[in-house]
Amino acid sequence: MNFLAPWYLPALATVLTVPPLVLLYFLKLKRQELPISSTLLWKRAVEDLQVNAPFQRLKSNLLLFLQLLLLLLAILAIAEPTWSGPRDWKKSVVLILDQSASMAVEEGARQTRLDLAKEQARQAINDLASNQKAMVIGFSNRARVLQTFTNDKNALHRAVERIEQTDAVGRLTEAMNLAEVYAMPTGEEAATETEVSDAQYIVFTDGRLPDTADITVQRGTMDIVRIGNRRDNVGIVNLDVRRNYEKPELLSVLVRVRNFGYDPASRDISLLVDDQLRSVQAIPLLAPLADRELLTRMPLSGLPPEGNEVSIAFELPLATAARIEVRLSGTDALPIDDRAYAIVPPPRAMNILLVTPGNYYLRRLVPAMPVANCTICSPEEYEEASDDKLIENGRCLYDVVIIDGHSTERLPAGNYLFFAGAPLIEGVRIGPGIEGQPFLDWDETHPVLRHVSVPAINVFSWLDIKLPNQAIPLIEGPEGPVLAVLRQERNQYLICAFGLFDSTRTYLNTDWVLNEGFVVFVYNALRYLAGATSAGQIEPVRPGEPFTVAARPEAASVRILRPDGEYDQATASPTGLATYGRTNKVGIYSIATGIAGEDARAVNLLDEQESFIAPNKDFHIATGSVTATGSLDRSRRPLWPYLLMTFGLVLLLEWIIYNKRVFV
Amino acid sequence: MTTRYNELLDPEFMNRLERLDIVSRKIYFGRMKGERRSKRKGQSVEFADYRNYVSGDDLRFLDWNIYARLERLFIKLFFEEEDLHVSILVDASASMRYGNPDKALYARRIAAAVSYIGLINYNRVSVTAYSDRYGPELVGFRGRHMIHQVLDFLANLDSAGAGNMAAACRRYAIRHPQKGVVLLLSDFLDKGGYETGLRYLVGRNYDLYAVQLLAPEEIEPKLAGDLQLRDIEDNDLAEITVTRALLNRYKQNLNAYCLALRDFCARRGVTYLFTPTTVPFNQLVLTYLRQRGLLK
Repeated sequence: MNFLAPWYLPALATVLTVPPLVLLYFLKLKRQELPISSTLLWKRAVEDLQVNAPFQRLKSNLLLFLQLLLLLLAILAIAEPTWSGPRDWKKSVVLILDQSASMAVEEGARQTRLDLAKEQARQAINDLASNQKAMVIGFSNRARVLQTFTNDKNALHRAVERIEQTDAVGRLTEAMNLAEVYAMPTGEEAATETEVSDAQYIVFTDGRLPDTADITVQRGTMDIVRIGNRRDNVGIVNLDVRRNYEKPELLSVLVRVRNFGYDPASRDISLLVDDQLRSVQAIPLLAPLADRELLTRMPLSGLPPEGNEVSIAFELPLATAARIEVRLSGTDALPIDDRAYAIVPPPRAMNILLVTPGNYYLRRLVPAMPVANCTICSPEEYEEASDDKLIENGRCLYDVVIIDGHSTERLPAGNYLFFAGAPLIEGVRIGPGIEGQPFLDWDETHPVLRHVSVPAINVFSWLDIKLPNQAIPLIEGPEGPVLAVLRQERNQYLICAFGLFDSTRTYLNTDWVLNEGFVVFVYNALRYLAGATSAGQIEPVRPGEPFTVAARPEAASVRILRPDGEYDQATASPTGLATYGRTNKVGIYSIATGIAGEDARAVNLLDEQESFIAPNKDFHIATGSVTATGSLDRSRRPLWPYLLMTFGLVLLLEWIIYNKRVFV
Repeated sequence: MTTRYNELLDPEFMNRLERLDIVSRKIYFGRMKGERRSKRKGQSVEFADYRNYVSGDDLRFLDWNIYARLERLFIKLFFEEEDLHVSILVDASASMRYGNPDKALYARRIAAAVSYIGLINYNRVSVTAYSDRYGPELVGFRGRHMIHQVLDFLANLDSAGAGNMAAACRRYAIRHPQKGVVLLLSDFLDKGGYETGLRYLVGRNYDLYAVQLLAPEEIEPKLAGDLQLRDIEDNDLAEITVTRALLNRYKQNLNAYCLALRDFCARRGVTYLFTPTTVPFNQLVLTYLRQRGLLK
């Protein structure tokens, strides 16, 4: 029970009314004087009553007690008491629980935020009326419906219990989309219901969701139940492992650590190679991100305050494959971002096949890249070459094949970079050339375009290439992609729709080749396509996202050892690829492939939004702003009508007793 | 306070009283010749007994017929007829003023009626009032013609002061050794108690009648609320909050008080009569007092 009125109001009323009432009873009653013949018998009667009734004094004060009770009821009503009852939710309630990494924060009493969220969800389920139905969705980077709409509370409770903690990042959009789809009335309901009922979306989250701005709530209302209170966290937000360009046996490990709390933090960082401690560095005192209150209201954007993050570099000789682990010392609210892992393959220079009818720039540039061997041939030679010159163990002999001004169907499993051409595979169509169009959009964050200034590129014409849906466009023109990545089965293509020369191969088609951006692009492209072969590490996987590995030839499945010591099986496809998706926990997933560098995958959180664990109080969604409440918002129902009713009854009782005493 | 005679006795009622006489259950010596048989043997016409002649007896009362037959001298004895002493003790304390009709008027009317009956039957009538002090007193009136003086006395009788029955009865017993009928009219609500006073009267061997008068307000109090009751005799205060229980308790006490008085009287040969002032006066005198044997 809560009181709406300030505390001093009922206190003042008590002081002003109760003592005077009691005082009135202590004061001698002004009695009406009445002469009688003799007080002899009256006095005797009064004495008799007092002797015979031990509770007579109490009885005579019953009116005082009743009047005190009346006063207390009135004072209580002045204090405006309320009791929190179940809220008047809509008929359809969608319970959406965050199971992302930041929900693993322990909030004391060995309860994580997910435990607290489940508790609140259970309370919400208990508060459901019999005519209400609910569904349960758990989400991290993916949303999963654990229970469709039902009014079976046991089923809903079981669904809530099934929600497991993941180390994945939180993305609400998919969960909301799912919820809205489920909340839409089905055809039968829509036909029978005269009024379309809205849904109530209750999201239990700590609120660090980077995609809330994309969320629209079309029909229904959204409530955010903010879970958690802790804000102290220091985490590894980036891990970059590279081999030295000149000396590949030298490994550089770059770790970025950031303080997300409100107190300065001091930590040590350790480097372990194959579980052996190799180096420890002390991190200088990390400045707090913001003060305690501001943390819950600020978005994580812009440059960090000075001294808030630090980059630590390790350099060590490593001539073999290895599993790298970096660890932060100390404890904080979120332990999973205190460790990061990397799988480092053995140093090996790339083998490149350049297929070109004659391209001066590529012929000069590619061999200058950190490659072991660069073979150059014409398209005709490529098409006519025997399989043993191109294929080994079912895979292409070369790490990257660069095909310039040529489209081909001869594509053994491998990595390809096309200029003014495309793989002739299903779903790819090459149309007529497009001239004089600007680039409309590009993704500068993609590794291929890192440090490449796309606006500085001028291209005269490019091919209108239609790619399958799974292609990732990196540069988009008005008609379609100009630069795109396409993964298909065991092949990986980077398709550039324009060539360096025009169709007559007389004039330059782009001035890109004349500036340093092109050199960076080719370097990025080779690194990207060759993957871990040339880079320092195998591309790490985000928690919750799948990875694909090549199985042993003729093997039906791949055995995977999870970080928690359990084994999983991933079925291999006919093409020899196995996709594994249960990467919910951070750590190293060992894969029995037998191929060095392919025998493990590192799953790292490395997400600033998840490491920023301070609960978010302000939510902004596309259709407005939602305030996050600390607990399940139960409606406040006023108690004063009941008090008034009781007041009336007590008043009636008092009246009856008074009259019974007086009129005999 | 002057009360008109008619209020005490109206002529019509006086006519009805003419037929009544006061009865004494005991035979007393009288002081003067009267119409009532005395314990003393005297000179009336009614033969009572014989006794042996002793020298000195009046020879006129010798029964010569018996002497002729038995040759022995016997003296004839005759009943003596003397007057009866009728005393009326009236409580004139302030408490008698209470009630509607008030007890004082009611008591004075009884006193007037009994006095009238006594006077017309040649009894010696005394009327004594008392409160906290003894008196005033009207002593030894005889004859019909004295009724006016008696009525005048009663009409001017004032009820004031606290009652002190014990002192009044003691004084009365000392001053009135003459035996006779004593009618005590009071509410008997005396804080000093009625026992002592009655014992004094009983001790004198009077033919005692105790008439207790209570007003209807005393029998069935119509009270409500928080009251301060003031005793009109001694200004004693009693604070009460009227409840059903209190009223019940009061009635029980009153009943017990009256029963105790009745028992006290019964054990000592005192005739007790309880009457509320709501009982019509005529009915009381003509019916109840006759039933109790005071009048015939």
